[in-house]
Amino acid sequence: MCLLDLPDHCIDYRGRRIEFPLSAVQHISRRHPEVYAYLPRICEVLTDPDLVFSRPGENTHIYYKLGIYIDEHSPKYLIVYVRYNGERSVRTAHATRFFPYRSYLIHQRTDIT
Amino acid sequence: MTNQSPPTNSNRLLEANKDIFSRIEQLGLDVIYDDVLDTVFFEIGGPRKAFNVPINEDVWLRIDPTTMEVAAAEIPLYLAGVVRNRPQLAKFIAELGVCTARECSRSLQPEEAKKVGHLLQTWIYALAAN
Repeated sequence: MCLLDLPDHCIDYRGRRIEFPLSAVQHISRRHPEVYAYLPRICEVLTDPDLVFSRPGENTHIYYKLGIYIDEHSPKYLIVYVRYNGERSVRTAHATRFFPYRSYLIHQRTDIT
Repeated sequence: MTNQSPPTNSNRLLEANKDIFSRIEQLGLDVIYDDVLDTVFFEIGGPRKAFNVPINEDVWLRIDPTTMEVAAAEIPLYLAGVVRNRPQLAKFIAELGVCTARECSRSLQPEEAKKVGHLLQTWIYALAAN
């Protein structure tokens, strides 16, 4: 995968532009090697998330999506942190089974049962 | 749905991490502030593949899914929130000599690494107790 081929922005489920700068791509690759293979699919998490949590105090939304990150041990969400402070921008991404503390659910995909 | 209790297999987690101090001694422990991600990491032996489990509102442990060893602790939204929400933790991190004006990485000296090891151990116990 060539990191330069990744999009420099995504559009989220509400049609908002989310910057995805190369610097964030490089840093996520370095610090979260488990996410490297899934970088081309980060925009899917933002465009069609299963869940979105808000941490208003930190101007951050956390997007959750199942079915992208493959783990032989247990299903995990690929999650993406987006900060909004003027522009919206991807800050980090990782894999987890758990929901964030002190956060409010602001979006849930309607076809989730 | 604002929360979910963490781990699944407490005994396995504790067993896999009972040697955390010798792992730290052997592999080293780095503290990193990544300015692009606005995240502080305590990493044992450098970055490796892991999944994240929340300890509290601000701290995630990164756990190797195969061995259940704690590979790192991750503190996202550091300047955006943690410095305000957890001043004691922020003070502890500052005292380790982590700069936040840009990306900054330090390999900790044994005594400093031991202090962080105790912190990691506390978080592991907290996780196991949940």
